[in-house]
Amino acid sequence: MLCVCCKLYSPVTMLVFCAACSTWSTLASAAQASRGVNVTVNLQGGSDTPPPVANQPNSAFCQSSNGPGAFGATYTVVCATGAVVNIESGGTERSFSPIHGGAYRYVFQANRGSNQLGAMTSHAGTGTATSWRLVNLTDRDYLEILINW
Amino acid sequence: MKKILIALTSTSLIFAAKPALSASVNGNFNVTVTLTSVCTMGVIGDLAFGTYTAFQSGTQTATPTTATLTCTRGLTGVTANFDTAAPGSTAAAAATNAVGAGIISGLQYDITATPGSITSGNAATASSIGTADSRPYSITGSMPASQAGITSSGTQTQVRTLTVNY
Repeated sequence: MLCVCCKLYSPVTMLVFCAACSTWSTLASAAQASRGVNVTVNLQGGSDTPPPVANQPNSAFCQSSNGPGAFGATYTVVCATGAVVNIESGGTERSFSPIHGGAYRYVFQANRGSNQLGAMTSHAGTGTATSWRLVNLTDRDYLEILINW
Repeated sequence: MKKILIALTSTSLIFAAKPALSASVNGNFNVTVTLTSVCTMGVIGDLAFGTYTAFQSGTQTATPTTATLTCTRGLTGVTANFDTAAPGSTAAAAATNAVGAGIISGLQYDITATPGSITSGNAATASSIGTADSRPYSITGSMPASQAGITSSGTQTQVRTLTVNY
């Protein structure tokens, strides 16, 4: 090991320091002993168990679309109670016909004239329609629904 | 009576003078040696974390393993460190305790090697060569909870290296 500290001092001091440096150099030339150690782990679920569905921990709703006889229809229920909050048909070729009652969800587009103001689904939520009425005006009709949530 | 005593004394002197004729000479010499201190490390058992279930709620602790060194008696200033050869692995600078971290199967883990009590060897005597010091290092590991890991099948193995400096 190079004795660089010797350059800074008087010859006497240098001699002492060099002796110290020499000793230190001997000590610094440390030896080593090495040996490998295996770190092992068996990750369960790493290949066959999917992680939790991302939206389930934070969502109150559970969806299913593969029930027997569902024909691909998707129904949404409140996970905690099982209350049905939405049913959607399995495809565009199967139109939703609410002739047997049930839970409905209609997607409206908010329009004024030929201008689309926005999608109603941007703030979709769950609630219960307690009353509704059709309002006929001179230039337009609209549906007014009272919802509790 | 006096004559007899004198005669006896003279005889004794004659007999006593004979051994004093042999002599001896001594010479000193130095016995020298330069000892290179050495430590050897035995095979280290696996640091096994067992089975980790993805997203498990608790910390996974590995079954500790031990590295045993056989060393020259009386070594001081011994330090240890882990390697960083495995991808993503880290190691602190050599110190009394070796500290490191790594990733296996996409799971982060921490490892530590802590020196245990030294079993001092026996000093050599004129009739025995003496024995070495025994220095054990306990290697422990832990994996934090709630880790996803990465797809793997069966037990995965990663080689880490413990280096002891003396």
